[in-house]
This record gives sequence, structure tokens and C-alpha cells, in this order.
Amino acid sequence: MEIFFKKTKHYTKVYKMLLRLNFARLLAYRADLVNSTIAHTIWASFTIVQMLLLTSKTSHIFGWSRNELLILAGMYNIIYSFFYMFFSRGFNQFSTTINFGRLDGILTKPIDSQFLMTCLNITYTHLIRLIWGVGFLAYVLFTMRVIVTPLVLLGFIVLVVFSVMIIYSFWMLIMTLTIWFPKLSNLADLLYQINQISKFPQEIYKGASLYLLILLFPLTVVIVTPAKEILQKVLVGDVIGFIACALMLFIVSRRFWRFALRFYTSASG
Amino acid sequence: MRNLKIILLQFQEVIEDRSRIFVWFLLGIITPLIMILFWRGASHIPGWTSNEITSYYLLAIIINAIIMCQQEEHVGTIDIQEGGLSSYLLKPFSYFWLIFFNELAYRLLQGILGILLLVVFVGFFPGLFAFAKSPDVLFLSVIIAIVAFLLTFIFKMIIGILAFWLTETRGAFEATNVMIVIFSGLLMPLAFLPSWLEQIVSKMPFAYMIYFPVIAFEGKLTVLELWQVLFMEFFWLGICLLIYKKLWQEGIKQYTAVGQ
Repeated sequence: MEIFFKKTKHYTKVYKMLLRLNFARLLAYRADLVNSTIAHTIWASFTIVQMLLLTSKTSHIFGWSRNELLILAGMYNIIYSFFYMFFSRGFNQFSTTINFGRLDGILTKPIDSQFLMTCLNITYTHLIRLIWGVGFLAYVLFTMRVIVTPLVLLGFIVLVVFSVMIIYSFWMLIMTLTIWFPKLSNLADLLYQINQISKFPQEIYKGASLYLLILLFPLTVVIVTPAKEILQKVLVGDVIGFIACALMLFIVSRRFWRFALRFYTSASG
Repeated sequence: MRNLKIILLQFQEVIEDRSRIFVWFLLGIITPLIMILFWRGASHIPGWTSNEITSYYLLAIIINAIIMCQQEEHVGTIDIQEGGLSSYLLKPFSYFWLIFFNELAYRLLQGILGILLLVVFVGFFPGLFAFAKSPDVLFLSVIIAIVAFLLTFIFKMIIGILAFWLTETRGAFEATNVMIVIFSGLLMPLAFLPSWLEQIVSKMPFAYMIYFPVIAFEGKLTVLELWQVLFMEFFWLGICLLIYKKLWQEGIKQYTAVGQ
């Protein structure tokens, strides 16, 4: 237990330093700051415009009303903004880090390799996406006259944390494959596209292949479950299953990374 | 002979990259597949049956794979911003045509994957597809698809060479991608948009990149309408070509590269 607390303290200290360094980098490259902010605004508004257009000629999709679908769009921006802000840049660099043998340097450091591969870069500009998401969600909830109590809000925040954990673990599982296929530099691009699955109700995937459904199941719940929580439609069983799924995926992804490292052959391999 | 060798070299280069090309292909099919599943849950859409919607998106996957060029990032970032253009300028061959043949090779390879996917789907669900049956319509549809490829190529070249003036191009590329996804018909058939928006979008060049080629192959257009589409495609092609030429002439004067 003492070792656990010591490690937690050590990693908290390192992460605080990373937060500071990344903030300094954000201010150092101002053109990139402006450019990234524009790009993230475009994608945040795209998610909302996309749902507005898709629902312009139909009032219900698989029993979900237009407003409920718009809530999913707002949620998508909120939850993915956290994931993109804290982890996606690290995942983007997976292939080049492994392909050019830079993982050697990471493995020799006295810090966990998974932590260094995924948590080193923080992209603060994704905050704009969070602002869009929160603003839009608040607007839709207001028009639907949904009252969010502090308890519901607390439950929502907890579920958002586990949603991000599921997305992180899913990405980790897939990106670990670059240890065997380091030239697949566009694997992260594929995952960005696959993330889209989350912004639609789970019901639409019922007709899809069973294998595909099992593989993509985690992503079909990451937005829907917190959305149901905020609409006060979530069941206790759903929440328990959701949290169990998040923890299990995290453990599996971590073990898979450690297993994969045995096959890492550096740049000369 | 020289041109043929250059084309073959580009093909060689592209085939070397086949695993990444497969991932790029997968990338292009995700949105249409999600949309097929999405519309299955929608109430009735006037003028479109469920099979027609599925058929639309599957054809959109293939047309997108064959037609939608993706060279703008390479042109803007690697060639113009990082200075790769210098080596091309010294070669006795036009930079424009080199990029064109490279993109042609990519499109053909991705198109083969798209056609394989179509064959699989037609094999499993033969009644699902609505294709044009008249030879006249099919012939005109092929011409429309070829002109659409030229249009997307020149349009993406224009976006790429904006890097002569922009120090950061990501915002411009992202904005273009979003506009193409929404207005080209990749997200949804333009007929599903609110009517006022459909009227505007159907006059824009994006609609001639995916939407009109797809509905042409589906047999949703009469011969007269096909000629109108072709006319509009040539109109936008001419405009884009003029803009490209002007921008290239001005941009190349701006271009600087350093080396030791």
C-alpha cells in the first residue's frame, strides 16, 4: 500500500510538470494555437451541424427524438474533448515512435512506458471543443426543460471519467498493434473515424454483424450511458456494467501493451 | 514512352504502400456504413426507399474511393512548406502531372478495393442495388465520374497550393474536408437536406464530386439531366483550372527554399 501511495505521489508530481511544460509549449507556438483552435472549432461545429442535418427530415430514429440525438452530439464533443486533450496526441505519435526506434529511449526511463507513450502530450486547444459541447448541451437541455440536479451532475461526471477510460483503453488495444505493424501510420486516423460510432444510439447497430458489434461495443456505450444519466433514464444495472466494462478494458489493454513489448525489436528489427 | 515510365513508377511507389492504402480505404467506408444503419431507423423519406438509400451509400463508397483525391496535404505540407517542391522544379517534367499520375495510381488501387467490396455486397444482397440499365445513361455516368475526378484533383491542388501564402494550413484543410463531407453528398444525399439548402448546395462544385456521379449511376437522372450535370461539371472545372493557373503563377514567385 505504501508503495502504491509513493508511486501515485511520484506520478502526480510528474504529471503536474507535464501540464506546465505543455502549457508553455502552447504559448510558445502561437500560430499553432490559432490554427488548432480554428480546426477544433470546425470539427466541434461539424458534429452538431451533422446531427441537425440528419434529423432535419425525420423526427425519430429508433425511438430517439431529435432533441435526444442532439444531446448525443453535445455529449460527443464533451467526452471526446477530454480524450483528445489528454491522450490523442500521444496516440498519433505511436507509429513513428515505434517505427523509428524511439521507444528504446522511453523503455530505458524510470517511468512507466505506457504512461510516457500516451500522457506526455496535452493539447489544451481541445478546450474549445469542450466549451462548444457544454454550451450546446445546456441549450438543448434548457429547450427540453430537463432539470439537472447536483446528484445527477455528479453521476454524469463520474460516468464521463469512465467513458474516457473506455475510449483510452480501446485506442490502446488497437494502437499496440503498431508494435507488430509499425508502418501503419494511419491507424490513428482510422480510430478517429471509428469514434464516430459513439455519437449515434446503440440501437442502430443491432442489424450489424455480431462480431463487429462485440468488437465495437465499448464505443457504442461511451456517449449513450452518460446521456441517459443526464436525461435520468439510466438503470443501475447499466451503470454497474459500464464501470465494469471500463475497468476490465483498462486492465486488458495494459496487459496487452506489456505482452506486445516482448516483440519490440527496436529500429534494427 | 517517358510519360508511361513515369506513370509506372508512380504505380510502383503506390503499391509499396498497400497496407496503408487498405487502412485509407477502410477510413472512407466507415461514415457511409454508419449512415446506412442510421437511415434504417428513420421514418419514411419521400422519394427514397430503404434499398435506394443503402445502394446510394455503397455506390458513394466506391465513387469516393475512385474520385476523391487526397493530395492537398502532401502538396501543401511536404512539398511547399518543407521545401520538397524544389527537387520537382528542377526536373524536366511538370509538377502538376507528377502529382496527377501519383494520385491516379492511388485512386485506381482504392477503386479496385471499392469494386471488390461492391461485388461482395451484390453477391450477398443482389436485390439491394439500383443501377442505371440504359447504355446511354451508363456511358454518360462514366464520363461524369471521370470529369468529377478531374474536378476534385484540381480543387485539391488549389487547396494544397494555398500553402504558398499560409504558414499554417491545417485550418484550411480541415474546413475543406468538413465542407466536402457535408456538401458533396458523403454524409447524406442532398435530397435529404432542407430544400433551401439543397437548392444552394446543388449549384456548388462539391455536389458534382460525389452526389451527382452516384445518382447518375443509380439511374435517378434522365439523359437531359445528365447533360446538365456534365455542363455544370465542365463549368466548375474551367473555373477551378483558371484559379489554379493564376494561383500557381503567383505562388511560385512567393516560394523560397533553403539548403546547404
